[in-house]
Amino acid sequence: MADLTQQSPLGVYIEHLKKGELAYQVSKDDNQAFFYPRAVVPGTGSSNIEWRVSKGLGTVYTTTVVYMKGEAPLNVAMIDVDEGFRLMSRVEDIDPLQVKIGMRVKFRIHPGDEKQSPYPVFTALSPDLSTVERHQGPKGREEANTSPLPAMRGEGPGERARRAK
Amino acid sequence: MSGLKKGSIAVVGAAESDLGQVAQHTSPVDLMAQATMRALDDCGLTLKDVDALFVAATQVRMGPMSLAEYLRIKPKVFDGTQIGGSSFMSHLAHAQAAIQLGLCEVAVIAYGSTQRSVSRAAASPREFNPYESPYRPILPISAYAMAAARHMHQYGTTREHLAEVAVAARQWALLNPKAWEKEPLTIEQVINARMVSYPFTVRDCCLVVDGGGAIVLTSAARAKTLKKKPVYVLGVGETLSHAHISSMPDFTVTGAAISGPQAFRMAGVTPKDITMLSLYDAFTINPILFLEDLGFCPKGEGGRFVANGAIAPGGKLAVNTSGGGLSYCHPGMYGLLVMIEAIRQVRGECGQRQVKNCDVALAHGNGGVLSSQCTVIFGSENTL
Repeated sequence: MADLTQQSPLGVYIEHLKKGELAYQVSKDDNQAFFYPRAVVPGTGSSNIEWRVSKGLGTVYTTTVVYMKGEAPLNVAMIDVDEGFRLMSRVEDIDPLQVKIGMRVKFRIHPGDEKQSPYPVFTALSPDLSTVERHQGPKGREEANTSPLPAMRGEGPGERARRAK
Repeated sequence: MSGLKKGSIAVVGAAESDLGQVAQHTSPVDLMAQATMRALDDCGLTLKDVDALFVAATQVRMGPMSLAEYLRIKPKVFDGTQIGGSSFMSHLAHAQAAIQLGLCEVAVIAYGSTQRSVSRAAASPREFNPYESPYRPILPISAYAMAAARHMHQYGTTREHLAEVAVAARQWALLNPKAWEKEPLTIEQVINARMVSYPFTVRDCCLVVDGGGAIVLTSAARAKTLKKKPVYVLGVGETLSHAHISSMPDFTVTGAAISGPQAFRMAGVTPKDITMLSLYDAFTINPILFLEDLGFCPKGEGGRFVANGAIAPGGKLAVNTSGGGLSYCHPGMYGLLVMIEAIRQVRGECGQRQVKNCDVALAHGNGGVLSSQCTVIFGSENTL
């Protein structure tokens, strides 16, 4: 059982995000992914939980565009991540109305600010790129990284800084 | 709901509070108390008869205590279950259990809101969710909008289909003197209105008004001794599928697919026996989803089902004859008013909008972001 006096599910999730990682949990009893992070496995209550880091590829399950007074329209979408969990997010760098259900998307980190810790957003992938990513060979990213706080993926700080902007 | 018996209790009193825009400084509990006394007058009972109180509201955290204090009564049974707009259908099911068990005899379910007067933000502040709030969805609207978008993608439902729901509601509202909206509405006007959360314009969204209501329930035996013809509870069903939209398993299937069959089984009826439906229409996608999930059309066909005025006055199925949350009244949690319209239809009290021979009416409540779903089937004495 997780020791909630030492570490919270959201706390671990945020620590991963601070390292540029989208982390999720898997029930080791049945290898099912679940999200949002929890202290016990939903449905069974088991504490046999493993944190993994997603490869960051997913598909838009549904989408909307919110119109707030005096602001540019903003996308809100549900993303089905390839490892088998769904989360709310936003697809960026594209006209919000052009975010389409079924579109392949790739995770990147939004750095947040003083009030908001980093959070996951997505960018649209061209079909070609998604094919390349999905067919990545054994030298590509690991399917899953099982250490509690896995090392950052192989990308230079320059790239991270550019994306953070 | 095994254990609950068809027709063991009945609604004997039903009333709205004042609706629309109430005077400055009116409290939600003022509205609850006003509606409670009107509902008691409706059946000829008094406060002294009330021994059970069921209350939920967004502005009153501990509803049963606040209303009991205000009315200065000491109910033996009380319940403040808060599952959003369908709370009152759930209260009804719990009241039925308590009355059947002899824990109480006369139950009042009450609601009040001043959300138009104090603003929706003040009346119903959103809880922070670290997995959703950073994306700034306009909740609950964006959640329903995403369900609509998925339904459109999966089944070919169109914005015109959604607009049909709003237009039908408006046509019914024009037959209801208590309805907030008084002007006709067209499909074009719905689609060209201000966009709020795609695919919803402001006309796909329910009203934001003040209001409340109350109903009085008692045993079938006692109901027969009161002023009006009892409206029997034939069946109830209730279920929870999620709390936050991110955790809704399939955005095109609601818990009505569970609560509906529960209620039908208990009532011993099927969709074709239902004369009138009161469906919680917080947004235009809702009746489309509920018509499918409750078995009035196949999954995915809801948009085409409501087309061409099918649920408007004179259409093939009477749905939301009050004008619904879209055009009659939506005071934040609308479920009690959903039931009151169905009750009045069974009583035959609906004047111009009365559905002929309405012996069996279905009231379906929705709460949260398609999260809680509760179905109640009401019937006249003929249906027992």
